[in-house]
Formats: sequence, C-alpha cells, structure tokens
Amino acid sequence: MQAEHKGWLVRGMASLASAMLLATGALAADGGLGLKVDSLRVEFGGFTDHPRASGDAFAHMAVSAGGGEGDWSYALGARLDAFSQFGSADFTRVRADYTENYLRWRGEELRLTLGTQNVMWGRVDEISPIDRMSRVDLSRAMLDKLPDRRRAVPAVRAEYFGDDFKLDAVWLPVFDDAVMPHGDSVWHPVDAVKGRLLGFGTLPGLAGVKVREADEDGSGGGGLRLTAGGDGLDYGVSVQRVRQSQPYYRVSPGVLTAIHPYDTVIGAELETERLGATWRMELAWRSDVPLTTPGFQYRTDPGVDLVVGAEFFPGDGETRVTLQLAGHRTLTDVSVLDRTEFYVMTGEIEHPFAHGRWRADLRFMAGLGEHDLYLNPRLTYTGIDQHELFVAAHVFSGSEQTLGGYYSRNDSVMLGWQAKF
Amino acid sequence: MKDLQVPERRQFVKRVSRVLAGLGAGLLIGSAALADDAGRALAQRVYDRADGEDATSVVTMSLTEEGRSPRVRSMVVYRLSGEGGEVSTLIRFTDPADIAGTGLLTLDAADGASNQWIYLPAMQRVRRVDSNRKGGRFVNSDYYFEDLRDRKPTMDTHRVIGQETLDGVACDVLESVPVEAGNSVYLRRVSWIDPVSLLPLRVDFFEKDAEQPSKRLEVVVRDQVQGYWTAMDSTLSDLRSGHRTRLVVERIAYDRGLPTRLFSSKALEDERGEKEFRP
Repeated sequence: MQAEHKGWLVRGMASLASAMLLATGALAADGGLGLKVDSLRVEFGGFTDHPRASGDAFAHMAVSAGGGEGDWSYALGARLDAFSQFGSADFTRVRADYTENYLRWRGEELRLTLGTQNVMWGRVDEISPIDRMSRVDLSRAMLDKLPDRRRAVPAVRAEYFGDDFKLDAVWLPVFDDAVMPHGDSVWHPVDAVKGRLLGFGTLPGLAGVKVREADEDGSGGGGLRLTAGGDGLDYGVSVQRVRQSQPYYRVSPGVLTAIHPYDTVIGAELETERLGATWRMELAWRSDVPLTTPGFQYRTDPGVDLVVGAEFFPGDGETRVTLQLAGHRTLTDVSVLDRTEFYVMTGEIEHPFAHGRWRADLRFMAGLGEHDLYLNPRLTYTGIDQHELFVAAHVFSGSEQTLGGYYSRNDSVMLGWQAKF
Repeated sequence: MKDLQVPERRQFVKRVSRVLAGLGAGLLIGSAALADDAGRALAQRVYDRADGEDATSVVTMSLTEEGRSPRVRSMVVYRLSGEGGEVSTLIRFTDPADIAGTGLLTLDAADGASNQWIYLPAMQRVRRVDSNRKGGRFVNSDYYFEDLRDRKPTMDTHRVIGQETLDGVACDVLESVPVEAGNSVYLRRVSWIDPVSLLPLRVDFFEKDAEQPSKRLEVVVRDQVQGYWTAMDSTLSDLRSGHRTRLVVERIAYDRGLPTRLFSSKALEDERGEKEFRP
C-alpha cells in the first residue's frame, strides 16, 4: 500500500556505513572503542478481536560504539527491526536504520555535534508539544513509551552552557521522515481495507485508497531553545521552524498523499517541585496545523497545545505515579474533518515489589469529554540484571475519530524479553 | 530500564557521599532538642567529622537475598563541600548496562533547601526530581531515601544510653528520636559510635516497633584515607526478610580540587566530560 519513501536510501546507506564502522570498531575494541549492545528485544503476542490479524512478533537490536580523544569524540550506531504479522494480512519486514553517528567537539562552554543524533526537547511524558526535532517512530503506534517512539535525526547542533542557562541551536540539513509501520500492519494510521484514517474515522471513497509520499527533499528546518534552572524552578523557551516528521495525509480521489508541512512552533516550558510532586508543563503555539475541509481541501491554521503533568509517590512509598493533562485547540472558524479541540489524560502507575525483582505498570490514556481509552497493563520480572521478562496487554476503545476508536480491534496480549549489555 | 527509570533520588547523593565516600552514617544521627548534653554533643561531633573539601569514590552496591543471585550496581560519587555548609554531589552509575550513564546531581544549599536532577540516557533529558522523599527504596536496595539524605542533628533528640564493646571497640551507644514524628520514617535509631573515628559502627533502625529494630547497618571495614576516617565496607540488612545491601568503596580520593563546573547540568548530561575526573 504505502510506497517506500525516498528516505530508505539515506537510511540504508547510513545503516550500512554504521554497521561497517561498528564491525571495524569491534575489531579495534582494544584501541579504546567501546562496543555496546544498547538494546535487544523480542515480543510475541496475539490479537483477541482483529479480523485480519491473529498475532504479531517484533525483534529489535541496537548496537553502538563510541570513543574519542581530547576534545573530540564520536559515536557510531545502528539498529535492526524485524516485524511479522500473522493472519490473512500477514507480512514480514526487516529494516535497518541508523541511530547516533556523530562527530563531537567539546569546549569549556560549547559543544558542537555533527551527524545523526537524538534531539529530544521538552519535559513532559507521552505527549510533548515541544519535542518537534526528533524523528517519530510510529512503527508500533503508541505501544512503547516516548523515548522508544523517537529516533535519531541528521542534525548540526551547537550547545552553549552558560552559568545558569543553556542555549541549544539545532539545524536539520536533511529531512528524514517518521518511521511508519508496514502498509498492511494493523498499526498503520491508514486502513485502506475499511477506508479509515486515524483522526478522521471512516471516510467515503477511502476503501482501496493508494498512499504515496510527497516530495521529501530539502532541509528539515531548525530551532533555538533556551533553558535555565535552579532554586526550585527550571524553565525554557524555544522557537522552531520544522517540518513535521509524522505524515499528514492529504486527501484526493483514490489517493492519500503523505505530506510533511513546515510549522513554526513557539514553546514555553517549566518544571518545579511543589506540594509533594514534581510538576512539568509545556505550552506550544503552532502556526500551521494541517487540516482538511469536508470538501477535501487542504489548509493550515494556527493551534495551541498545553500539557500539564505531575509526578508523585503516594504515601511516600514505592509506587510512582505520573499524570498529564493534555489539551489541543486548532484556532480555525472553518469547518474541517479534523478534531480541532480535544483533551486527554495520560499517565502511568509503576509499582516495584519483591525488592524490585518485579514491577507492575499501568500506562493509560483517557479522553475527556469524548470516549477514547487506551490501557496498557504490564507485569515485568526484573530479577536478573540487564534483563526484563514481561507480559503486557494493550486495550483500546473509543469513538470513531479517536485513537482508541481507530485501534479498537487491536486489543492484544504480548510476551516479551529485553536486555542491554 | 529498571530501577532508575523511576527518578531515583537525590538523598542518595548526600548519604552516599557521606556514608560511602567517607562521611559515614553520621547522617543517621542528629541532635538539637536534646535529651542530654552528652548525646547532643556526640551527635554534633559525628555530624561535623572531618571529611575533606571534596571526595571522589568508586562504589559497588550489592543486593543479596537468600537463594537468589546478587544484583550489583557500580557508581562514581563526587562530593564538593562549599562555604557555609553547601554540598554538591554528582553520582554516575557505571554498571550494569541498563542503568549505566544515569546521573544524579544534587545541590544542597546552606539553608537546607535542596535541588536535584536526574539524567536518563534513554531519554537524553535532564529532569528535576522530588527532593523530599523519605520512604521508598533507593534502586531497590534496603536504603530508604531518608537514609541517604543529610540529616541535621537538630532534627532529632539524642541521648547516650550506654557503652558497649563492638568488635573490640568500646562504643558510645546513642539513641536518636525524631523531634517531629513526621520528619522520619523511623520511630528511633540507635547508633554505636566509635569514639576514635566518630564513625557509627552499627545502627539499628526502628520503624513500627520501638523495641524491635527492622534494619541494621554494620560497618565492616573502616580505614583512614588521607587522614580521613572512611567506611570502606558496610552492610544494611532487612532483619525481617534477610535482604541485604552491601556498599563497598573500591577507591576513594579526598581533596582533589574538584571544580564547581563538575556539579552542573552540563556535566550531568555529558558523561564524557565527567569521566575526566574519575579516580
């Protein structure tokens, strides 16, 4: 369904180069190059109610090496992801990608980095309106936590560390778009079989639609972020002019075109400790929220996102709770098919027990004012250092336009293992 | 992953920097609204024990439980004492791989105010964390966050309740009871103080029963390093479950002239820069 985008060539070459360099590095490990397995992960599970998929499997490996001398350092990294889906819509896909591959110079107050790198701005969990620099990983929708839904991006970065502040300047000279699921994956935001589109619900004429990529050449944009902190309060402001990594689907007869429009994002953020909790807040004004009218005309209008979150430990005990209230409003007076105003509560309850050999988690997202629910309970055995064994469930429900509604047939139970060396 | 995905706590900083980097469990003791002058004076002497302008230590934490394989964490702890009682601490976990690179920066002001930030490599973000936790286990060890924080002598009422010989050392036995019940998870603590080193060689912690200790800290090895008495090997035991946390100072160096820039958000998020100062 979805055409492989042009970025595959860039990613393939970068991944191959990383792999070769890593192999060289492994041979030269005695020379000070540290080779690490950053992540190994296998998951296998079944869907309880999906008409076209009975189960899926996921395997992932990420390796890296790093070293340097004096003020100079470098990193090399690559990852390999394999997906299989079982049932009538079965497929297997193996995909290589780059992680961090950069050359870095560090001075007393300045740090310059050139190459692919992780750039995660913002402070809140799950939904971060300021985090617009990084490349989004949608290959498993929202099944993973935020850091695992972000990937490295080609960038030139300058970080200046003042006495009480930091100025971060990032330029993305080459745009690389989001990592998407296989076209037949139940996690893809376009369901061409049923004629559904995530965020829109079912649209007439969408069944059997083709998806194609718009031109992705050029820069990804850039931005500046100033952060400061101390004495009970950390805060920051940022301005970004970036292409959105996550595709927006422009509708035309028989075709959905994945586009990545530019957007100016002005952000403010703060973090403080009050009333027994750590509070985190992000506010972002966006110049160009992409929209589609009932006549399938594409347009953009400004919008505002606000997230307020708290992290606390009830009863000063072992259980950690994070809660975020997120709201979005698109500032338009034109009738559109998109959701222009919504509010959701997201969070996580995490409880280690048996001296930390086990951990019970519940991640959740619940719409306010509209039925939209995602629950992710998980039980993890952590009794072996560097390893985790877990069983998890993903449960969705909601109305047509919501995320919970779109994935409402994707309820699943997963078994998994992950490790790091 | 695992332990430190939960924003782990700042109090560790001070406690580790003292207990492990040489400052002993002096924090376990306080004084102030004393029950007797001798108790208050002893608690103050323990708290004021000389520990250098700065300290850098490489520490191993082993979590052991009957019939289970031990879990081992390694870390580097930097501590810098400023004028007027300010203390800055940076901890970098170095092993196992799933928490390696995680950093904790704690800045304790002279007036008792505290700020703490954590750096999680997976997120590559510096985040502020709660500085007021008392309960909860630090990295699944037997240490509560309160055990790891700087406890001023004025927070407890102290009295010397006797003398007792411990491993051939005639110790003063000091009882410390919180002035306000809410300022501690413990009903009381009893410490066996070595009058020479001013290190507590044993501390019993009473949580729910004032007569029956729930945890016991024992200093197994103490040495003088560069003239400063240092608890080199200690074990904290949960007396009910038998779970134990052993802390071993592998290397320690005092008064190296650590710069203030080591205790900054840049050093917190830049492990390579911090590595230059490892002993």
